[in-house]
Amino acid sequence: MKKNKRTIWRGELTTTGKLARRGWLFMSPGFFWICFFLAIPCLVLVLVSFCQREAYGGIDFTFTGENYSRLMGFGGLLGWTPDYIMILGRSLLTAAITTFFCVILSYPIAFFIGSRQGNSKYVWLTLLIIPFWTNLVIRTYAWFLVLAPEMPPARFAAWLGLIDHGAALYPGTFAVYLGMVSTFLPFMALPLYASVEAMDWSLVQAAQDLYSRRTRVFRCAILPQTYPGLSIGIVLTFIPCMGMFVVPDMLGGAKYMLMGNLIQQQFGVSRDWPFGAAISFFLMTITLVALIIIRKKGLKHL
Amino acid sequence: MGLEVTDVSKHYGDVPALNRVSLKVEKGEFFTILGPSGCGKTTLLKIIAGLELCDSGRISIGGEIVTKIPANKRNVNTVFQNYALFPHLSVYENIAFGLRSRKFNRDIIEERVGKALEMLQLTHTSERYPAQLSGGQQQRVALARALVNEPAILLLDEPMSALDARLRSQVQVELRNLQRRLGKTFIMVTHDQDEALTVSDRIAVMNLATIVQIGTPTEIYERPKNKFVANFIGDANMFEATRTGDSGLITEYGTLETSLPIPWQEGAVVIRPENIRLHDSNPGFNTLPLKVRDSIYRGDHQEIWFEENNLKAKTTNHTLYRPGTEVWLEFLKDALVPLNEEE
Repeated sequence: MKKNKRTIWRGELTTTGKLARRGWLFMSPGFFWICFFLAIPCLVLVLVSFCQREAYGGIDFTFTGENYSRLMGFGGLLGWTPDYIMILGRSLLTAAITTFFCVILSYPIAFFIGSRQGNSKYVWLTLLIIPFWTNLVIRTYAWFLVLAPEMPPARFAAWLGLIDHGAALYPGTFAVYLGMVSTFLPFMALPLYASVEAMDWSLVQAAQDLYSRRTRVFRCAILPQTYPGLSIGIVLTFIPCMGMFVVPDMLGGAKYMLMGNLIQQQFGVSRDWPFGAAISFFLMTITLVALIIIRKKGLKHL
Repeated sequence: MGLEVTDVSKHYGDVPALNRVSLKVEKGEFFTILGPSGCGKTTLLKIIAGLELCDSGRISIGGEIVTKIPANKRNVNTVFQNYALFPHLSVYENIAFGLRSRKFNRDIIEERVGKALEMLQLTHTSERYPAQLSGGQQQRVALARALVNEPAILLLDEPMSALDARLRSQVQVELRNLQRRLGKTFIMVTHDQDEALTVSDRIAVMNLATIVQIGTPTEIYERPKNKFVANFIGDANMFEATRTGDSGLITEYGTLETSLPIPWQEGAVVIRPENIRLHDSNPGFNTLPLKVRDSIYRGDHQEIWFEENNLKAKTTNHTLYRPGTEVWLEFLKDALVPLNEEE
């Protein structure tokens, strides 16, 4: 085949060689971005994760698999410990529960906004996005105020006998989930809303017409149609949840240890970068596997 | 009794979609609701299906009042306008959907879906997905999906609108034959008058949220009640007339005679173009000599317009009517229809 064939591309007479060069030009910014800000840092991370920690927190470049075996619980002073695996399990559970509540809350929100007429739709969408205008730490501090002992929620909980009088609703599991769900809700609600907007309601009517009760209408006519938005929402919620450390740290009172906190600790107070890198890489791998599963399942639905 | 709709009204905000609509459909009848878009015909169908509730009035199916019963508990199924097939389910699963909702056992489902596939010649497509089917096949799946449930009434919402013109006329005949074979009550909504005339036992013509006329295709076409029906269905020559004597009409085309009852002193009359006959010499009765202004040759007939007026005639005469030809028009006495006054 001739290398420099003349061709017409979008009404322009040019050659295949020119087109290829132009393609490279347009591709280069994205390519370099991914190279320098994703691929290379990841490579460094993997490299560091196989190194040893120096006595004063530096990195000793001698190869070891110790960081990974430690993560699996081996090599401790007292033999095998499940600590890190438990943290991983807790992170997965927290992320799963947070995602679950986000899904439960997002469907009504998405349908509510979807059913608004004209401008009020945009007002509600803006209200949903407004929390993003504030820093996450500040938003989390705001929960301190809301959950303080003298505020109605804590008083109500005390009146129900769930907590002592004069106690706050934080720190604790409840506060962590509240913070997590409120942080990630828009990430679930927005893609879901986009799917709801694109829904073909005649399928819902067809399901009703064919003797379906509400649950079956949802399962067979609504869920398959909103699955694209739902799967994006799950990805956008579940994955950042796994790495979240601000909210569990603040609202959990530094007792609620998740993968995110563990990593932050290694790069912070513990000054153990190689171990931190090993955990990060491990988390990334798990996330990637989860992503692949969601994609595969998603394709089956579409 | 198949279906009885009594005094049904429905408003969307301030806009009336249905205004005290009543009709009766006999069991085993092919009944068509015909009207222009926005006349409320689809709303009426949705109310019969139970997909929408009416503000007032009563619906009864097979003698049982179902006004407030939701769609999933009514023994009625719908073929939707764009078929609304579930894209993630195969043809087989689409057809089995209603039976699975009602928790029939596997053997019954298999048997009934198999029969439905066979009846609509879909057996070879049962494993395919809706996106892999042609328009005609999709329509048959929609029909099978509704009919497999053995509904008391089958509702069809513009079932031909997604088909191309050539296929449409063929499918119309097939649909009519299917209905005759099954002996089931079909209620179809359409804006296409040819379609309505082709398939229906009876037609209800709707306009502006009300039913204007109900009758057999012949009645609707040959004896339209008012200007709307006359204009909406087929071609019509319409003109003002004043009554003289029992059956005489003074019109701009002279004094004509009709064999139909005249319900007014002054009003409008209509005559279909094919009921104006053309003659070379005066046949003697209800006639008018005119000059041809323009003519179109359509193969099996000719359409002809005349000088100094808007009359249109259709003829199957073999003479070619060129502009300038002098002809005698005969207004057929039993096809000159006095219209009811509009409300």
